[in-house]
Amino acid sequence: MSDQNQDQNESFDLNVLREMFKSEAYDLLAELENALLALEESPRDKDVISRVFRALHTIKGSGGACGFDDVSHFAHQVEALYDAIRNDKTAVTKEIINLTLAARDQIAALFDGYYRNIPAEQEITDQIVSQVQRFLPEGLAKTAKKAAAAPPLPADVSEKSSVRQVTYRIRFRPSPTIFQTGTDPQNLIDELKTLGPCRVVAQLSEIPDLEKLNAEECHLYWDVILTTDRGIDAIKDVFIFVQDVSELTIEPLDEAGQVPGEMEYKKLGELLVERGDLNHDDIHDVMQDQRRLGEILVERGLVNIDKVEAALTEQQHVRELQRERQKTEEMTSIRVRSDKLDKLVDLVGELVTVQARLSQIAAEGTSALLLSIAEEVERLTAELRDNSMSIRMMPIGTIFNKYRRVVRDLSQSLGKSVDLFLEGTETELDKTVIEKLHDPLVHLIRNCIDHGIEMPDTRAAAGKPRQGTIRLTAEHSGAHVLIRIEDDGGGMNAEAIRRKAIEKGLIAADAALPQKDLFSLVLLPGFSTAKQVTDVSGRGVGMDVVKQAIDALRGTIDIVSVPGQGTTITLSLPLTLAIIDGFLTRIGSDYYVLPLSLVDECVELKAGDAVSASGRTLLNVRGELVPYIKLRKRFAIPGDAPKIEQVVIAKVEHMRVGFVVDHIVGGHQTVIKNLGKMYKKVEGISGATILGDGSVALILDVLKLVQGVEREEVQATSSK
Amino acid sequence: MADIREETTNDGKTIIMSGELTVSAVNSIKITLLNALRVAPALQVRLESVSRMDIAFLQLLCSAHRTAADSGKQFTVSGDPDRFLELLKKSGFQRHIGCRESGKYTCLWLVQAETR
Repeated sequence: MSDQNQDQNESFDLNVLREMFKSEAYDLLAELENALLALEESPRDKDVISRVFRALHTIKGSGGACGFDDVSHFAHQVEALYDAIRNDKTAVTKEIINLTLAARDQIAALFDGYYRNIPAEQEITDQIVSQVQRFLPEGLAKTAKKAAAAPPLPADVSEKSSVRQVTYRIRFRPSPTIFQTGTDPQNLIDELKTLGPCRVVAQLSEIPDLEKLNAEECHLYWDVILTTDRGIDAIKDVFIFVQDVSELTIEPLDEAGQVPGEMEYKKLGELLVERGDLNHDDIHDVMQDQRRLGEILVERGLVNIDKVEAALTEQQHVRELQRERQKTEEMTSIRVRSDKLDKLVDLVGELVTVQARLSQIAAEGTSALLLSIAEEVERLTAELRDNSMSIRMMPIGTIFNKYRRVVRDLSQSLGKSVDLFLEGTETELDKTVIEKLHDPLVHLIRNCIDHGIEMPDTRAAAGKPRQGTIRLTAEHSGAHVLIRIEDDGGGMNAEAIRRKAIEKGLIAADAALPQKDLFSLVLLPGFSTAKQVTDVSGRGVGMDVVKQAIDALRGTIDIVSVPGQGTTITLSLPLTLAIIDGFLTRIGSDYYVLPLSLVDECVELKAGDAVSASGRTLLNVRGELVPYIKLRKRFAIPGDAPKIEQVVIAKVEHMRVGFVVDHIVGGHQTVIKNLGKMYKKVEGISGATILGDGSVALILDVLKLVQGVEREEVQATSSK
Repeated sequence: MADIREETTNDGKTIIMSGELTVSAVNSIKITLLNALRVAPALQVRLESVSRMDIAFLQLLCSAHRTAADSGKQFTVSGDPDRFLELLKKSGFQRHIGCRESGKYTCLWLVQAETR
């Protein structure tokens, strides 16, 4: 192969690697952010410090492996700081957390540089690095600087062959004076554990009696079995600061360092012989005894107990790896680009439409064979639909966790103290819905902190805890997900909203609006003042834009607020935007679909059944008065209604409302198609779907229909 | 700072240790243990409100246990089991078979043997 070809292939490989690493890179950044926020809560927690270290370490290693050298070098610098923290050479401070969060953002910017063509500013990287140096202890700062000047690729990166997992036997015998030099061997062992699955046996046989013991000296050494894909140099790196005064041997388990595939790993006797701790003859002799081999060997003084322990540990480690591998083989997962999933759902949508046509033609024809095939196709399509929809489902926790940072940063900048509690993070929602939900939720949370939660002194004066609370919860409710943003702040001022609404001409001065409707006014365009848009959200988004975004998701917003106690905003969102179970109806020759999840029941409407009260048309359903809307009239469809009409009673918010149609067709798998910009403003229609015969059915937005009718009723009443 | 107190009971002595049980305190703890082992037939170490523990401290306990076992005395450690066990596990002190040096294969670090 020519050099040029080789270069091209390498660059191609790197691009493929980078693309594969993309989602992992952002996942790692999210993990780093979460770990840092957790560290802020408990700055002395070693486990959390290790979490931050691990995240940085993985970003460094994996980033480097994919050719993100600048990311790798930068992460290396910050990692050095957390290494010092792990070894108790530096303490975690608020400044360090802020700096690391800034570093995290800069790593994100560096990744964005590659993935989104948004170049990162080198100046910021340099600033952060020089600040990191300030926090490093003297000696380490020099080492880190040196590393920065000629940054070697991390060991795990430079060794292309090291991608595979290798199991090593490591023996580490530190200098007896290691305790006195301030190095805790435990930290080194902990660091080894970050490289991969690891088992440790401390060799205790050289500990003298109490009388002779110099308690400040280390009389121990360690046998470690470690499986890692980072290569031998990464292991050596762990011991870099103690290597001159310690004995260190690292050898692969067998020649290739591979864990054997068969389930039965070597027996204890074989291992002891292989590790050089016992000879064949002794083993043969002892095997005549029926007791446990380890006990007999120790009893006979053939081998030291610690050596048996180390061999048993190796045995257990390898057996566990074998079990783990088997499990992995049984349940592998792969990362798939999201646009491929979108395409899949699109295709399933098309298939559902074609299947509807097939079913219709089969039903009209006389071929029993065709009918049975059509039924089979229908069943398979429904399964395929459910399966592909479930692939797109993601836990909402993926975005919820991002808000910890939002809450932290904004509350700090406003001098407030706010706790964020997340509940129901495992609730699953279509990925498109989740993506589109991010900005509105950020806005609502920022509003809670800025307008809802009071300053600590004000809260204390009102007898509340100084720290405010925002609770973000998600739960399933039928075909919808309810997301609640709840704060324990001052609540909304209904009177101020009323004044502003009157001032803006949104309501009449004497309008008697229920409180719930009054709060909903803040969602109207024009309600947010210019000052609010810039100061509050900082994103140029007002509440009306939140409303638009939720509307676009076919969701609803409900606001409840109690003065002095706080505000709860509930978003109700459909589980998916692509395909729903619909309820098909017909008026004249036009078809309409209602979301099946909202449909309660169907009743007949005969002339004379209707009751009229306060301008509303009501229907008596088993003693309950249900308001109804005649869709034929509402949509001005020409022609006469049949003598017996059908009423589809649906749940709309907290009441039941009837929708009068000519005929009911029945359940229908509805692939939602957007109506396009031209029809965006048509009230009461949220989309369309294509039926089996190729004709179009409109999907009803029942809430909008009801709201439209209610508004007209209010106007009619007030104009009288 | 480590805080070491002694209690004498009918069965022997109890040494209550709390605070930072690390390399900086091991010398003074060693003297306490040594003196107690000289006079008491059985010695119990009780860990209470331990803020930190390190390998040097585990090494000291191991040595004390062996010394006690060699002279036929009982030596036990109790209290703060979570922190203690966590460190044992992390540092590789846990054992499945007692050690020869302490006689009768007893060991401070013995865990429930697993099937092998």
